[in-house]
Amino acid sequence: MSTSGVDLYTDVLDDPVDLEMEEVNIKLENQGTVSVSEDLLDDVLTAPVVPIHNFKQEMDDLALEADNNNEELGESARLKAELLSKQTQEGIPAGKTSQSTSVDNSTLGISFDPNKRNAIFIGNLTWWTTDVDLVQLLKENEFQEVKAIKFFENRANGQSKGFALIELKNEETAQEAVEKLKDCVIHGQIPVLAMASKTSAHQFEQRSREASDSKGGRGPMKAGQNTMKKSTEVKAFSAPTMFPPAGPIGLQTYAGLPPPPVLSATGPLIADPSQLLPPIPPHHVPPPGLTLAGLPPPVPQVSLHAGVLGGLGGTKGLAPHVNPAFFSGAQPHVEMFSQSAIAVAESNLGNYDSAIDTLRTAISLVKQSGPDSNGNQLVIESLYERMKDIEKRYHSRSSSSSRHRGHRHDRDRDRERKRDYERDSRRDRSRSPEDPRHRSYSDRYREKERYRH
Amino acid sequence: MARERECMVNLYPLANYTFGTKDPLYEKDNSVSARFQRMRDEYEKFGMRRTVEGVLLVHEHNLPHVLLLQIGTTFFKLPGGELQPGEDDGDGLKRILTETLGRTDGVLTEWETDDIVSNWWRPNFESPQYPYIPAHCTKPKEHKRLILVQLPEKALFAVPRNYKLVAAPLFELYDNAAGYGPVIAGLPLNLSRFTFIYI
Repeated sequence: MSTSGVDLYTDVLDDPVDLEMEEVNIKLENQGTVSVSEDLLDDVLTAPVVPIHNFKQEMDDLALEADNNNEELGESARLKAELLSKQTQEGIPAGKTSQSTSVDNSTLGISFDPNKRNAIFIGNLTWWTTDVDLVQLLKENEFQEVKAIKFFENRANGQSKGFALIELKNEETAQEAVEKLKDCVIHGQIPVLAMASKTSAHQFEQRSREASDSKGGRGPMKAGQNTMKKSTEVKAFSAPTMFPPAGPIGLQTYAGLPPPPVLSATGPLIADPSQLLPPIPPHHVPPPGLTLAGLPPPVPQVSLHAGVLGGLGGTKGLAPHVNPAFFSGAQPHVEMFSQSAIAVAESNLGNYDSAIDTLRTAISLVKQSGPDSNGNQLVIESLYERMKDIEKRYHSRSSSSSRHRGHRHDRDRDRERKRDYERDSRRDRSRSPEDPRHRSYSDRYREKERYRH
Repeated sequence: MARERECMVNLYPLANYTFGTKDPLYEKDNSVSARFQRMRDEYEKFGMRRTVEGVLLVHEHNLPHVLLLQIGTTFFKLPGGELQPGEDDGDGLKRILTETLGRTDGVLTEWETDDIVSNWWRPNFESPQYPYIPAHCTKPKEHKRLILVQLPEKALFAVPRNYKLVAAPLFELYDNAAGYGPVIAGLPLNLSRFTFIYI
């Protein structure tokens, strides 16, 4: 993709929150045309769509860390690229490998079956409760045999969501554990227990989300917040107790003082979070990487020649893990893709965020897709329309959604927003849209939060 | 009074280095799943995987550029790989760099590996890596260490035919995790502690 293409794109997606129709009037010229072999295309194209059929039924709004993420796809793209180059070098026409290396869900962190009869969920843990702590707790209660422990984590930063799946010896011991551990205290909190099931997984997920939402989860922490909730206040699935604090810790807080109730936030406050933000860096123009090898190759295997240094600007400036230039102007692809994106979004209506996400991803894909600006623009328009439509429907349903809090502030941080949006839209492609955690704007929200730390 | 220590690093222009090719060097794993399966298997046998990667710098127009291996059009990685059980970081990195970029005529390249640039941990057999160990994690599955490799004034690198070697300017990597992943995109921050001398 050409530098200007990238730049253009960032400019255009100025304010993703208030997507206006005029944004559709972007110039699509100048987007680099990189022809990518079909199977690379397949791989990435199907990524946002396929999982919906694959395990939507099972996981649905479960958000069980449907962990196929960008890294993964990047990885897969890499391996694929390598495979391709291997093939081309061996004189095998590239093309028919997509099945063999497409992303394998079993490796994506969902190897755990929440329906395992010998498994329990334990929740209401602090984020610093470790697997060793859990084993210890189980041992103390005479559950010696622990087959596996899987923590649920916030993918963006690795932080524990405060619940874990534990596999015990068998169903009886599991049931026993659910009973017995209810009266324990771990890191000052009373754990919440349930037999593992889709429903309970969903509840735990929901709960941790509520907790982080209501606390502003990862925001800067208020002094005095870093404490344990009084155990008497713990109620299964309702009280958002899991989050003692996830932000930077106020300096005086860690003294182990008795805890004020978390929500009251009576301690000295950290100053306005926005003051912790870094200054806005100057506008960034992704430049061409300097190629040693010369040749800006759509084709992988360009080798170096000794002593020959290609000029500047050989490769495309920005090199996303996942190549944005999938469509190379292939109108049928674009159309098909947008149709399936719309279908997916529609089927996801119950889940506003993933619906929007899907469309947003689709838009960015189409935008990057290259030269067929007229046809593509129409497609983009229809996608935007659909997105606005869904937004409208959603807003009429819930006007005070906490989800929108995240992007109303920090209006001045345009540049971050732009870039975040740009990235997200790339990244989201490889994320499974059915995972409600990956809401349309939550990624950006997370990114923003990150700047504060 | 204590004095802050400046880390000085000499950088030479890209033109000082020449690049040849050699036989392709393939990854051990053919797919993402195979990759994580092998990581699991090896974890059982040897414990946490230790990976080292080299940060090789040159300069152009007085701006540091990082040498990256490019596979296909969109994937970039630092030269590096897995250490043998018990192997020293620096020794292992030198071994791997020689395999990856060393000359084929037997002349050894001098790699200086004195400074750690960053550390990353993989808490699960999954792709996320973080520049810290999440608090609930007692057994990370991989520790990746990035090490600054100071290059000799001139050198010849032999690049496996299935890769390209590119020199990415820091501004290209900065704040660009979408393009390069968090590890490489973090390099401009990691490297800012060094004082570069452009020769």
